[in-house]
Amino acid sequence: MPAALDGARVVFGHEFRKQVGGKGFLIATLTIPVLLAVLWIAIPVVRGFVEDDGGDSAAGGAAGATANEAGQSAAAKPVGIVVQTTDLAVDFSQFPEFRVYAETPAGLDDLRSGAIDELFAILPDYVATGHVEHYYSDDAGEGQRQLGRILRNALLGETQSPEHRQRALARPQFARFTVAENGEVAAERGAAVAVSFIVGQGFAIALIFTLIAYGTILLQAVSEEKENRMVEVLLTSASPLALMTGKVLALGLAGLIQMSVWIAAVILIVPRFASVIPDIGTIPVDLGFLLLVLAFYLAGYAIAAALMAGIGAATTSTSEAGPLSALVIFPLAAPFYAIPLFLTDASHWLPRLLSFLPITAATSMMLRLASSAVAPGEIALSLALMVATAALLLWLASRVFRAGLLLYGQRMSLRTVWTALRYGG
Amino acid sequence: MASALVVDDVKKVFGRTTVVDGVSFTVEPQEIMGLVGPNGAGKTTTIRMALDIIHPDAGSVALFGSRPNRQALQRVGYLPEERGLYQKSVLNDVLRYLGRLKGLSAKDAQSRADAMLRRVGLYEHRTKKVQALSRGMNQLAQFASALLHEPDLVILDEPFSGLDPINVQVMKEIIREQQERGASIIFSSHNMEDVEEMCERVALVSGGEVLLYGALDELKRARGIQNIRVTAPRQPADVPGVGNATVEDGQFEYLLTEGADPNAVLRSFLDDGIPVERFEVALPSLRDMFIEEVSRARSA
Repeated sequence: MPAALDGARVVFGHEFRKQVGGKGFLIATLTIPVLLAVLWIAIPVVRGFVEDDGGDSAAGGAAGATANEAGQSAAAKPVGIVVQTTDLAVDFSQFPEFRVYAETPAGLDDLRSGAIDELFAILPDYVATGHVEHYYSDDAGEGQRQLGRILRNALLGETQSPEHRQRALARPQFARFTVAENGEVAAERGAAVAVSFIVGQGFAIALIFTLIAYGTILLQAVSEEKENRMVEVLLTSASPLALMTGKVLALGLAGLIQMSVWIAAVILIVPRFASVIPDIGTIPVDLGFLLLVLAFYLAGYAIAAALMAGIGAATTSTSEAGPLSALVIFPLAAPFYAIPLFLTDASHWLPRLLSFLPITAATSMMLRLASSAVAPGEIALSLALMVATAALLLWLASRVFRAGLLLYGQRMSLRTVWTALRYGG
Repeated sequence: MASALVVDDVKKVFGRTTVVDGVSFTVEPQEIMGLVGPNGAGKTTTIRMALDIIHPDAGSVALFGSRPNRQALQRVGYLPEERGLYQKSVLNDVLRYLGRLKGLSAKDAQSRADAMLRRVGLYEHRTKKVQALSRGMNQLAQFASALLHEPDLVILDEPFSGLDPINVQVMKEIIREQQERGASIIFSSHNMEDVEEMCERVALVSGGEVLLYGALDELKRARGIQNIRVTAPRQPADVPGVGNATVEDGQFEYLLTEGADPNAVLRSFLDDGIPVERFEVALPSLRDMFIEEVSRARSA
């Protein structure tokens, strides 16, 4: 392996282990999955408190109500039930948490004695009126919701297939088409547009977040090597370019891993508690769109990371370098100020111009791709400009890092950096 | 065998200031060469050019017979004057990383780190963070890291500054061990006694130029100037041929001018009836030569 590549590999391994092996990384990485898991647990509980018996929100789960499901709360006191109607083909004795009474007074006696906490009486005219009497003490539980599910299933009838019951209980999904004045019919992208825009914005925000987090770490790592005087030893052991490349890639991979864990957590956990959102899984997201967004994300990271490394290399201390990171973050976030324009007219000259300025291109293209179709030529040109700029910036950062030896104790200015580049390179 | 390092007429200008102006010297295999000079003499800039950290404006550098490329630099161990380690990292991790950067395998880097930490007496501290170590320990750790990969050329810039005498002694022993192993060593220091003790040859640099260069003994003899030390109760009113005189605890030390006769000094004491307890003719010390040469260069 060439010495330069080997040096970059060693730096990469060291920086990656240092980053991923820290407690901070573990805590930050697990924060999102843990938060989502907490939501997963908390949302059904909250829903149980607020949900009305006949509410649509329970519809998704109602179709699957079975003896097993009902048995989930078998450890609690049984729920009393009196079936006075003869129009329902449901045998409550198969549900272990229900205690069947022939007459209401017998059930009320048990309620008074504390043997049960609530009693339901399904009245003879239930099918026509929906009337159910509900007697309960202060300790009443979730019997109302359980009974609602069982009754809905019973009404749909045993002859219906599970798919039919599911569909009957869920809302219809409307595919919407617009008919223009000229008679042209066009599919309205509707939810897909919304999801694409959310994904595009999500990646753009993630890019900025990753940059703030890992760019700052990178900046500090480079600056620290100058501050603690390691730079001179390192420069006799590996080329500046290998040092910079190793650092940028290591921190980039650490950031990607963290993002991947977060995205995986969202994909795996959110649908489990987001069933309140109708058919979230059926909203189409274009794979090509996702790949392009990912490509711009990576190119944007490379540019910003190289800039951050350059700032770290040009400054003499982490405290001096920190505030300068805003010079990178601000232009990266600048396209967000023009979001209305991206939404209404993504082919306007300003979004297009921002798509070709390497520092704003990543965010701009993510937003443009999310809101409208972008010409392949523009995508290719923008990506090519970004990759070339990232390579150039990385090379420049490595030159500044080497030349930075001559900046010990001096405040950074363009003049001092230029002098160092002239005489140190 | 090729010289470990050949610095040939190198020059470096920063703005309008010529920091290094035609410096030349050679470091032969298995020798300890002293690089001495006052602050701002251009020693560190010369070392940086030798290590390809900065490029000379003129002249050339050959490291192990070739340009100081990455391969040649892997054979160099460097302890810079401006030194430090990753303060928040564990000592063992830092050494292993630096060993890996010098081309050692992970296993070799670890075993060499263990061995060097034992040698400098820091093995018990290997799991501590660097920031938990004292300044002296930090220095020893960085010294150990410079030698981890058994380099063929070791460059030590002010290695003893800030160290207690015991650790200085440990370092001196290790430097000797490195020489016996076959390494060439550049020893840069302000402390002339240390250089005199450790080095066979020296290059005295001042104002970016080499003022003296060669084997230490030869340089002393070649000067034709001698030191006279006389132990006596007093000194004559006029001592002939003396350029510089110092008095300390009843001992008179005279630096003779070029061509002066030491016997004339002894005669002046006896002629005045002053009993002489001890009379010694000595070669000038490196310190004497340093002061004289640098003073002369500055006044020129």
